[in-house]
Amino acid sequence: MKKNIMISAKNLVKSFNSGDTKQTIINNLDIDIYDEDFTIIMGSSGAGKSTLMYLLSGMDKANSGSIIFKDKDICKMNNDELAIFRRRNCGFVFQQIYLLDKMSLMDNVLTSGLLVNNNKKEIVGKAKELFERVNIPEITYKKNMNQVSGGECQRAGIVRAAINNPSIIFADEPTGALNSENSNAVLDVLTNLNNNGQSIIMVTHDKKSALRGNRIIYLKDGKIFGELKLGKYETNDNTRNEKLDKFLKEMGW
Amino acid sequence: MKKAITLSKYFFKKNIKDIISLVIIILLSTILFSSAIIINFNVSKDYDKEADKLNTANSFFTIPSVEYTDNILNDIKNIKGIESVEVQDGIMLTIPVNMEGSIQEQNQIFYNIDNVSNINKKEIIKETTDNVRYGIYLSNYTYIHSGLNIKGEYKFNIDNIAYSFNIKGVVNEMQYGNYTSSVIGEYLSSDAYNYLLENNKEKSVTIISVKSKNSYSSYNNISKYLSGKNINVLSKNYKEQSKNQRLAISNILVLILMVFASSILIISLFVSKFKIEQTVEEETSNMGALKALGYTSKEIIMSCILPYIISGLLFTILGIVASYFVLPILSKVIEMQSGFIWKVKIDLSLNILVLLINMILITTFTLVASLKIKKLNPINAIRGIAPKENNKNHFEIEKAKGNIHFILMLKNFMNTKKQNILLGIMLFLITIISSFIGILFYNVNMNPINFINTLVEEHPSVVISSNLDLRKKFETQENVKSVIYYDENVTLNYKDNSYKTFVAENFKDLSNDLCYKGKNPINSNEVAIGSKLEETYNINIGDYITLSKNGKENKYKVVGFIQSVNYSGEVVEMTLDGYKILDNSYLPTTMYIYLDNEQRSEEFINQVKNEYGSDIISTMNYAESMESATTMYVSLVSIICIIIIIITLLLIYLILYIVISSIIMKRKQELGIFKAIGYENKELVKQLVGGFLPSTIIGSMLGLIVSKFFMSDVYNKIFMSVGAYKVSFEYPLIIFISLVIFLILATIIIATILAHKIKRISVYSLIKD
Repeated sequence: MKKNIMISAKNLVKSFNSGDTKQTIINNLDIDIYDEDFTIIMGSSGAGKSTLMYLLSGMDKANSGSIIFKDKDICKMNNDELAIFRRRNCGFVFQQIYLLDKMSLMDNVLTSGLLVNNNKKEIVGKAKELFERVNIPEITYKKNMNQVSGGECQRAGIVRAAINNPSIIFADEPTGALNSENSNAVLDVLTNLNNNGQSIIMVTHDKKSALRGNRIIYLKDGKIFGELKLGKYETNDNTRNEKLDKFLKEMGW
Repeated sequence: MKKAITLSKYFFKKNIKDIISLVIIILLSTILFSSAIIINFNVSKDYDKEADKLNTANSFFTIPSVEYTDNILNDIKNIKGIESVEVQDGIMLTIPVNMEGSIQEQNQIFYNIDNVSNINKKEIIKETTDNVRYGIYLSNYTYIHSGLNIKGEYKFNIDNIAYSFNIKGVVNEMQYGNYTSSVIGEYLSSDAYNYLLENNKEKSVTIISVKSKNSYSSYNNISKYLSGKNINVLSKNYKEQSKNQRLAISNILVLILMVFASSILIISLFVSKFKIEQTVEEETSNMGALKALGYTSKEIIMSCILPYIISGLLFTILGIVASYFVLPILSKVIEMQSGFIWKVKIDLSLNILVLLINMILITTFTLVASLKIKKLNPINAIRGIAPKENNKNHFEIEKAKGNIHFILMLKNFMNTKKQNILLGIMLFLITIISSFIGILFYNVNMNPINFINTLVEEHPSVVISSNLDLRKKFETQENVKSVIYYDENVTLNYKDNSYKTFVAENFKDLSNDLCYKGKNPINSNEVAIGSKLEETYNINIGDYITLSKNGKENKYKVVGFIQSVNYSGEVVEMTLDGYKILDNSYLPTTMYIYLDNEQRSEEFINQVKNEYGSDIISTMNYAESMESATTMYVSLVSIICIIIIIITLLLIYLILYIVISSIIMKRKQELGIFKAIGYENKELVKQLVGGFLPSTIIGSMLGLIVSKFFMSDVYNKIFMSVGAYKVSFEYPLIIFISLVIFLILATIIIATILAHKIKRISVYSLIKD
């Protein structure tokens, strides 16, 4: 079955001025992101993984090139248009979690949810359902982020990302700051969401996390250096691990 | 110390923009404070020095020359406490003078400048070397306000004779000075003096100038003596009273400056305290790291407060220096009002005092604000946990009413409590300052009658003296509102002292009620007395006092106290019937005429003169004189108001700049998160600005309430210092409300402009930072 393209980026260039020198992070890159995919972006440090992800989500602006996101060129949007576009189409999960620290986990989710849907009852109901799905009980989601564990915070972060049924969730190393147990829980939540049709792009350094994706893109010097298609994640599929190991070895990981 | 200095450089660089805003506030406050304190301590001192230099009389009396005999001089010499006495001849005239472009009736005493005097010397401050015939040396006050120049002509008409004198120079003298002493001195060359005397022999006067140990005592004793001899005293004054009269407005100016400067200083102290507390919060982790590396709390505190202390020190010095550029302008204002030439001199001791006051306050406030550093635990601090950090989730979204933006606005308000408290306090103070100035503007510029009523006595449109009873005729004339007989020029004796007495048929008919306690006299056995009499003789309402005139006595019941700035409270007020008990031959001749259209006062006077000719003794266009006298105050207050409005707006801007910058700095990541999840800039700006609204509204409303209820007390205290016990100012609620609306709108607009900074910060950089 042919997949629908959700995001199509062409000739993307992103560079920064570092002192007197110009540093090109994304170098004339073309990429298509498909509906319902769990796309993993890997690469060594400084390869441009996060930069690419933030460009595709409209959080950062490219120096040149185009990004067609659901038939709209987001490179031509101004900041406020991008904000409205993001609230309707994107969900974000960050390594540092970035929950608002003076709010409860629930309020963090509602802050995002009520921005799109004014029906408080509906949004609260949906938030409660999502919290249940990520195993966060009421007593926990009423607490502030500094009163709960990192894993709980990150799962709340995923609830916030998913509350508006976004077209895609962008996850920037979501397990980077978590222990193994919490990492698995977070990855399970993301996998679960993807199994229910949620498109996800995840940047990661972690091989175990990368296994959750069905498509691995490897970046090097701001360009796509290689791509691996793994198919849907299944817990007992040992061949995935071998395929990924081989691919990463070829990429020089 | 070296370590602290190195660290302080870091804090200085990090907070440079906020420190600049703060030092501008310190600079403004220092300029005003230093100027006010220098004027306060030096004008009075320099006035006394100048008076000593010119050997100014302690008391002086003007009597008609026909009543003067050498015996008077000898008798006064023998009065206890009198050191020396000198008499001089003069001509006392009431002439129409062009002041500030309009005609003012003034009592002027013309002296012969060639008659050398030891007491009340004159100092020529400007003079032409050209030979001038019929020359006149104008008093500095007349020179400033008449708009005339050296070699110009000083012209006036009396009894249809036109006089013109050539201006030869300008003199500085400390005897009369300005119009508040009700007489002004001018100095003619011999030829001019003789010419004027020839036509005005009946106006010839003798001025008795007295040097004594105690001015008021000699003034009282001589007043008693002259009153006992039934000598008609045309004008009298003593040194200290004359000084108070002359410097009244500059004293008010100093008080306004002091109040304003102190308010700004308090604002700057709160802002610096707030800024240091913010720095401690923002730098908690770094401070923890420094502690872990072995820096002592003392070193970190020093490094934190040093940039504020050094900047405070530098800008206080700069403010003191700058005040010497502002002082000449204020000196000119004082000179215009008082006629006293005050030369600005550097006063090191006062400069050091201002420096010490500022530095002690800045150091104390910043030190108190930075003491939190002591409580920082290195490990917690490294983790960014500040002591007693409160992360309470205010306004739970699920339960709170209103849309998400409104709830977030409320959350923002609760989460920026410190900034809001600061803003609230600032708005409270700024509202009080603005109300103070708004009320001054309303009562001086928009309703000058209130200002006039406070400082002067009765002020009709026209004053006409006539031997005929023309009241009924005047009353029927077009444009005439009312006519009353009112006399401010008769005198009565109390305990051997002579006092100006205001006589009216019915005090209810007067336009300016002078009574500040009790009531005006209604019956013939009632009197109201001036504040000076009340204080000197400890008289209470209900007491009986015995007043006399030409040996005839009568007991009167004191029913009220009245104010009189011009006569320093040395006045008595009684009914016409009451006065006739002591002087049954008295017939009132002075009519106070109130016109519907005061602009036509001159037309009315001319009409009266044409109709009644020689039956008219004198006329006075009081409305024009008043307008001329108030023009100066109106423009002065306008300038003060404009300056204060500009400073107030600048203050709001600077405070909001510091507050909003600190919020953006503190919430940078939070704002980034909001942007990332799809909040638009305008929504975040509204959230930020809306978060300030409660404190802005509460602060300014509290300021409004305090101003509305206590502003009259502030003005009463200020005017009491110049002898005005009854302040006729109005305090309309609409003025306070308009000011509050203006301040709230200004705050919203400025805050919105400043909050747009968020726009320039990209989501990515916010998150990455």
